[in-house]
Amino acid sequence: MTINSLEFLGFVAAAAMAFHFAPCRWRARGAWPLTTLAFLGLTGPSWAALLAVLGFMVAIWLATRIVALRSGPGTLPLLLAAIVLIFGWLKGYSLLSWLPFAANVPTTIGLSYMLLRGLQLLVDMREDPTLRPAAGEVFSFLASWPCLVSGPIQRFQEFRAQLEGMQSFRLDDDVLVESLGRMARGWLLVLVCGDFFRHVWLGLKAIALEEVYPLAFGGAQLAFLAYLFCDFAGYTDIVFGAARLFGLRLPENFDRPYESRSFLEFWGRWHMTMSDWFKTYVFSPLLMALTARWPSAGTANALATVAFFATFFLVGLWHGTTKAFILAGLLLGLGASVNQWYRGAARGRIGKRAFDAMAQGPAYGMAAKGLTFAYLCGAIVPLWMQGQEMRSVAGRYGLVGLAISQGFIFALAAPTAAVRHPRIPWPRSMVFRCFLIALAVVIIEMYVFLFPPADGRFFYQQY
Amino acid sequence: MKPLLLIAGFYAAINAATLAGIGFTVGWPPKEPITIFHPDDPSRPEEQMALRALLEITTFSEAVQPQVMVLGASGAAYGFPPSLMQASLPGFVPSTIATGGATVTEVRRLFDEIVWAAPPAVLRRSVLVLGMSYLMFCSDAHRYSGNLSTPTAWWQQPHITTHTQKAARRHPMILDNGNPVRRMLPRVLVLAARRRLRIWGNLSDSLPLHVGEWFANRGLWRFQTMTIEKVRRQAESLLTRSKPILEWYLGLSVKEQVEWHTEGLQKAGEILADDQFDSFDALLDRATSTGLTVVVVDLPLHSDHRMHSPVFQSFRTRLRDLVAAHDGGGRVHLIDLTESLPDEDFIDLAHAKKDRVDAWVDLLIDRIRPLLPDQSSRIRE
Repeated sequence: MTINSLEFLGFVAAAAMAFHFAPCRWRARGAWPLTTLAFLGLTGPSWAALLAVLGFMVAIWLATRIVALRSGPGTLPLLLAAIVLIFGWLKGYSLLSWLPFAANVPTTIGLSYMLLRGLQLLVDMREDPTLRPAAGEVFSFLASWPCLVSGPIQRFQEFRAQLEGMQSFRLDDDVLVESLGRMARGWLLVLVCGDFFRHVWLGLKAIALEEVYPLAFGGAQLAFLAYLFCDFAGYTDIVFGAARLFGLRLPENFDRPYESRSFLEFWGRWHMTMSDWFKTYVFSPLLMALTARWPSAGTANALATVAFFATFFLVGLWHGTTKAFILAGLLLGLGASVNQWYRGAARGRIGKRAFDAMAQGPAYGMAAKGLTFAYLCGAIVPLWMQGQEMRSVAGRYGLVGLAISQGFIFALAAPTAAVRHPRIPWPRSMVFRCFLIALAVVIIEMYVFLFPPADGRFFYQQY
Repeated sequence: MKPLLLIAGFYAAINAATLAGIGFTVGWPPKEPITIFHPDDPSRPEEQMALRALLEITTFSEAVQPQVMVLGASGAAYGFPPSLMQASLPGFVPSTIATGGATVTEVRRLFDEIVWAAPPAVLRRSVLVLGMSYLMFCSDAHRYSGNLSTPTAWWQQPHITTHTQKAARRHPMILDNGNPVRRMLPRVLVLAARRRLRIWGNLSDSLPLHVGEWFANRGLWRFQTMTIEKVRRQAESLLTRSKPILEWYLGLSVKEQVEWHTEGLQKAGEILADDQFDSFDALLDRATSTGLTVVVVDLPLHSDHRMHSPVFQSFRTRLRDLVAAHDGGGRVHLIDLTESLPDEDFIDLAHAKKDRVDAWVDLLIDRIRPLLPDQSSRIRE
């Protein structure tokens, strides 16, 4: 079962019925965990994978018990390292291939996001001694099925409050329409817009690989980014809508990232819960540690640059540890650190106010947006090209060809800098909302029939 | 519940408006006879032909008259257009449900759909003509997993998928007979949904294979300078061209076609796959159990096949044995037309010339006329 399948819709309908027919006091403790187990069973590639995921959750739960009982200074880092090690082992990272049975570990789904939620819970437990979750809560939180495959990453405190609210949750017409509307929008993004860009991306990729076509290579990079956005944002809409049927309100994950005018702004708008997580649990502690070690005001910009590089490098590594992901991590880290260094240096030279005023200028905005997308599109190429293909493209295109490719992206992105896309409000009229949902269903059905998708898999599921 | 009813109501209304829009602008689906293959447009992708076949089979549900249903691959599609057969088969409605590049697996799949759709009483008075050649008995792995029969890259799948399976994925709940939802749905509902898709299918015929096709047009992205064009391929492999298979095939010289049919298939080592014979055996079983009169036609082929193909004779022997095993009730017949037509009647090695199609049709009609079930006695029954 995949998130964009009819089976998933059937699962949501059946789970929602079971949830709402169950006695209110059993919703959070009985119905919800059962739907989670069912989801794990339906999406897991095998029983061995299900066991591996359950084992990982048990390991995190044991770690929470140890944190609750012992508060020594070395306990938490040791536990975090152990959890990361188990994660790397279960994910089959090549760096950990020396571990026993590393070659026989089954392929699993959802571990990456489970890891982030688990680490966050452990760190927060040390910060807040009153935070002592029960075993059932840990399980429900880690395996919360709307967030299992690819987030969004919800904080435990927020999840727990919503879990407690399940007992009194009532599914009225407004919530139902909000939920169905969000899911319909998600499917529209994934199955129509995402499929369109996916097709263009694959077509242009084939052309770019076949001969020297710099414009096709640039177009493929842009089409991939557009596809990734539609696929991921659509997925988020689907799980957001599904979660609403159970009284959960997941955090938003995207805020019009196509309007970004700098690399760092982009990551503040794209996969926001992951960016927040890395900001809270990696960037801030690292910067604080570096500042404590070198407390000079003159080094602040350099330290922030280093912290950004390390954080974004980890973001790349979190997706995987093959050479491609290491390269993507390096490129992302380089982009973020150059962006930070430039911003800090420019502010230091001309002043914050003057810099901000300059950044608002139309010509500056166009150049910034063009550069942002030209660089970003290039930095994520390792996500969709094999190492051999990248070497072949680099060798055949040369610097001139690659410059033309990225220049093409710049030329397409820059003119849109002045365009602002306001959030379109969801209409108030219930009848009109229902009409839009029905219209979306017909459009999706017709599109899939007329232009059958190449592959129904959700791209981010591989992480 | 109110929102769900509203959504259902709007869904029905939007669907009705869409169907009317397509019907009045693009056109309503044609009535009989069913035609899957369009000789004027031989470059149509095979998957679209398979889709058309799946949709057109829906019309059998309304059949009252006995049918002569020709199933097969492109050989049958080229040679036996139903419009030419109609006048020679009074009392019968001819149709040719043949799709390009089909193996026995696909023929069997389409036959299963016919049995599902057509009224049993009509089937008992009808004739099933299976236009076969040894080329249809190669393994599905060989036929469907390479670029050869799935030329556009985006169709490539990690597993073997026939054209009919691909077509059914456009609406699995309605078109895929293995889908559990379809099995649960009432037949009337599935038929109604398929009638709707049949109208949508009219739109499909006038659209590109994918809405993004225009963007993937290489001419659009051509931007080459002398300085950056370091390497240019001297020759492009024929098999990786993103052309529809039939267009590619017809573009080959006769020599190349012979090589493809004989050496290429021989190298694959799977020219006559056992599972295709098993599948054909099961097809005959099911056809006879539904009361159909079955005529297996070993299709006319260019003499090069007889001379060069290493499996031509062994195929004939196996086919005869298989048909003989089913002929107990006198309802399964074999007609051997392999050597019935001169080489001049072929556009290539397996397909009829456009101006010689009537000769193919006459040949078939003459041979099957004595085998047609007696309608008067059936009606009396």
